[in-house]
Amino acid sequence: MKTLNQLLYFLRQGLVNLARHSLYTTVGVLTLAVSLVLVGFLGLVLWKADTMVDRLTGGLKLTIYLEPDTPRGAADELARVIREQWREVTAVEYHSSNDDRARNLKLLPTQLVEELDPDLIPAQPYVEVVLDVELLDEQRTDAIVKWFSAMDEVQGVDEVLFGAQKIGLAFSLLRGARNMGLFVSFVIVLAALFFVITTTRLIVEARRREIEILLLVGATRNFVRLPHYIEGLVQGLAAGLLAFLSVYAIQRQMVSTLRGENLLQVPLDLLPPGMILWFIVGGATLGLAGSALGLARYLRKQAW
Amino acid sequence: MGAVVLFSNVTKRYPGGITALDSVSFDLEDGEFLFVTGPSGAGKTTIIKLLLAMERPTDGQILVARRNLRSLRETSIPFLRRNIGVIFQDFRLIERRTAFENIAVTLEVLGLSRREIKRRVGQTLEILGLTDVAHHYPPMLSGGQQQRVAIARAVVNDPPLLIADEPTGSLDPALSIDVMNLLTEMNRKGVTLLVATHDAALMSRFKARCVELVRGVKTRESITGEAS
Repeated sequence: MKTLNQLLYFLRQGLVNLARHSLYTTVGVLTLAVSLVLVGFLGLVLWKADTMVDRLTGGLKLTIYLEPDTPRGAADELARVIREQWREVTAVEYHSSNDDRARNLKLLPTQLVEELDPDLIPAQPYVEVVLDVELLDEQRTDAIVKWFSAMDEVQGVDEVLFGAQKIGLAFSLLRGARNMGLFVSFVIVLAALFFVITTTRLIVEARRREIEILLLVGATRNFVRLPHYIEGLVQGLAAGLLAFLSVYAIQRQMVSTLRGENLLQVPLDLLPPGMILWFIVGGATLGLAGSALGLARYLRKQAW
Repeated sequence: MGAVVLFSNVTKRYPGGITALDSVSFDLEDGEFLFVTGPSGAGKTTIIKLLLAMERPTDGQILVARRNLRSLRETSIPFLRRNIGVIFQDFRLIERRTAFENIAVTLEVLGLSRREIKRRVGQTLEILGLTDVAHHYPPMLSGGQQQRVAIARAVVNDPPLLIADEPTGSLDPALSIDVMNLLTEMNRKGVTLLVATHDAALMSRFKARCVELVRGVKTRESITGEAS
């Protein structure tokens, strides 16, 4: 009964304090909500960074041009070796000379194609190798580049166009995006946390006398702490809810715009389960941690 | 009747070599009324701070309700304080809380239900003549009313020991006597009372044992208000 009474007191006191410092509360909730949205979006972008890099670089493909008279069997054998050697390889596709010619013809202006004898267009069979960006890391990338570079020496292989630069670019883009995203997320979370800590300190400083009196009449440190924790928790949850509603509204607006532009096939999911979880758990954790850290320093200095 | 408070050769030295109390001894029996007096810097407030475990003695023993304050763990301090009602010269009221809420704080700390808090605070407000100002905030109250609220907060949980540090220091003579009458009334009801004051005229009106300090040293023990 006593515990329940105290819990009710903490809850009441926490909510009363939030209402009393409505300006701090509002700014705190908004800061947390903006931070949650920014970090959430960054997380989403990082999560999808590999796909984005893949799209940016047009997919990581290697093209192995074969001598014109290379038999199909030799090409299939080459494909098998490549598949077995590299787990990053997701597809190996053989294309005949005719396929190559057709592809080259597409690259030429129509007028020129009409005037040109198709047999004059250079063509040779080739094997196209597709790599999975998600499985790449720096060491594997170097090994792949080295291995495919040496393939020029293999009998029947004319030239390898593997876009080493493209692989390097993809990898550094991915790594850069991840590092930058992590750094920016860290800074944003730290800024939000710092703001909540500072706000808590200001509120605690304003309540210094109140806390002194509470301690004098026999309040335990937890009795002083818990209403502040509840304040932080409620602020964090409110910020999470606000962030969720904001993103939901943005998504609705974007879907409606895309529908108007007949672009509904563009995938748009700003609120996957991870994002919703981040809003709720992230908001609550940030609010709670901020108020706990803000109060801890004060209570450490506060003499009995 | 046992000693509620026992000071045995208590010395308190602050960093920098300042000696606030030098081997002070006295006791306070259950239900007794004791004045601690002396000029500014005599060590009166240090005694209050030591009794509330806001400070630790440098030397000597302090027993409060059989608890040895020298070896009291920090986590036990709140439970010691729940047995001591304390009143200060500057009232120490929470300005953002009404008179009722200020008094209720003592009971909220104990985890009582809202209904019980309402009942006991209501009773105390009535005894102290504060019912009409129950929902007033401290800045709306006179000095005398504020001190009454502070007394109400100190006694609402029926503590066995009541300590007052210059309780009349901010009040005019008439209100001072009024407040002292309230305190002695509590004492007559069985509360052990320790009042620190430098007001000799006030002390002379009330019969009590008196410990006199000068620059941290106990100089005399006497009985005040013998003539009254």
